[in-house]
Amino acid sequence: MRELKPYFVPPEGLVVMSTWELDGTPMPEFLEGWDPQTDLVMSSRLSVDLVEFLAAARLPERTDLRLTISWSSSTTGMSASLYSATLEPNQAYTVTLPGDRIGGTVQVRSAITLTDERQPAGVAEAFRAGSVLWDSVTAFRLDGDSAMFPIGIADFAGTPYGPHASWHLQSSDELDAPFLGTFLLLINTRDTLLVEAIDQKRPTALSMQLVSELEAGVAAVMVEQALLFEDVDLESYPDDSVGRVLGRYKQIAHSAGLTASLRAEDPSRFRSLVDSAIRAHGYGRIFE
Amino acid sequence: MTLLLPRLPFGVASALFDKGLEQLDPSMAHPAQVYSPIGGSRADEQKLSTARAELLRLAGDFGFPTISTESARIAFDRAAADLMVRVFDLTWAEAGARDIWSFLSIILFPDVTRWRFHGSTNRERWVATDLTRHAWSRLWWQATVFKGAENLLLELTESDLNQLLERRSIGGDPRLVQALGRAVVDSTQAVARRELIRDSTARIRRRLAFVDVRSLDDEQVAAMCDEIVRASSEAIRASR
Repeated sequence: MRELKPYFVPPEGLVVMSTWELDGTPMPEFLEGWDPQTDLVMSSRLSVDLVEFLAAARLPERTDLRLTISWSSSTTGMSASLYSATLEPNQAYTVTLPGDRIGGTVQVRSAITLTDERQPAGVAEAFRAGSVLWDSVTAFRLDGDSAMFPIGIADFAGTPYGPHASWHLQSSDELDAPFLGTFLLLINTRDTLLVEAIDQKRPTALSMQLVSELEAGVAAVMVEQALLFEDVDLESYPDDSVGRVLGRYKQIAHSAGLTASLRAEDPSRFRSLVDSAIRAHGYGRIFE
Repeated sequence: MTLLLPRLPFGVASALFDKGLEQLDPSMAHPAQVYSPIGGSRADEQKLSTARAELLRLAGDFGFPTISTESARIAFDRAAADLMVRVFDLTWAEAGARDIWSFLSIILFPDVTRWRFHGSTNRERWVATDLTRHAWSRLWWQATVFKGAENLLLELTESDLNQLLERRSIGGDPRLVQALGRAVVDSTQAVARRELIRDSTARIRRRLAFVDVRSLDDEQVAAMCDEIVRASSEAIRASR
């Protein structure tokens, strides 16, 4: 949904921006094998009919506009500018994201803004320097491998999870906190089969089964965790926050008729419905 | 190469905290610790031991282990912030991982943490959830965000810093938070600093809904913060 601004903004279609590219190929949603020692060099181009754009914003013909590219990172909440230049009708640009500063999910924002403060001639005209007239946000994920959760390996003998447990999902009820910075899937080193299965470069039937069971178990915990917040509007939390991720699992739960009250009233049926819901969403061993 | 610190999982950190702070003895490792698989080289026991020795020496200058005054502990914070970024060369992603900070407070520096927050059992200082509240992460991030403006950092109190840094839309942008901090410190209006920052940060957040502050040059950011702090001062005074 487009945000309402207290001034006229041009319609979306007036600006055409190409897909971000990384080393000449479209930027993927997830960067497999990325390392913080590596900067990311991204490029894109943008074209706009400046006369039409300014007219649609009810701004005088020679109003100076800027194109600014910036990043923000979900794990730290940090942000910074990458590129800022006078807006041209056709503009190609390359930016370098500093590897040692980004992490988790990175959002790259492109924005066309008013360069200087101006005296408005009419109502609802943008007048503050930096007023956003158009923007576009691209997000991609950096952390971990292809698994959704960061994984740690530890000997559970020194933990409160029980030495015979195979894994533990470290979760958080801090709904504002970044998901990737707070959730951690811990695997017990004592379950050597599971540790090997996760590390397996060439999966065997057994390793696939173990990983599949693990995924189903984790998804079930996430569904149960999400139901702790039945009365909370989880969609109102920022992208990639604990709240927003749990919101997705709450949708899975509700689509299967799962509620916290059902868990209390009929735990056995609840358990079956959780299994069914997560399998319907691709987690765990799928029926042949 | 940047460092990877051991991570103490949240559940383990919480269990150790709940057992009682007086039970915590300094150590270089914990059986349940894990590391990020990427992002640098692991801090070995020698590196951790050196870091601990440096922090102990610094804390000693401010009265550790004897009970010291609140002002001495605050002065320690400023000096420790410099030390934290110097000793722990971390990527921002690593410094954003809550569990490394729990390791520092509960495993590596429990004695200094106990001394710094004398008498306090505030869980947030020990088990990291909010980076702006934890005993050691807040110092690392303060020094990082105020890099190049160290004198300004000296002029801000812990309460000022909490207010400035807790909203990530402001605290996550070093240039913006420095400009706002400078405008607050330079304000000559007779209004309480706490009230001034609360009102100014609320005004800036409303402004950020439609202004991309990263498109502004340094002078424009400074002018915006000055204008907002001035408007806040006037509004606060008018409401009295």
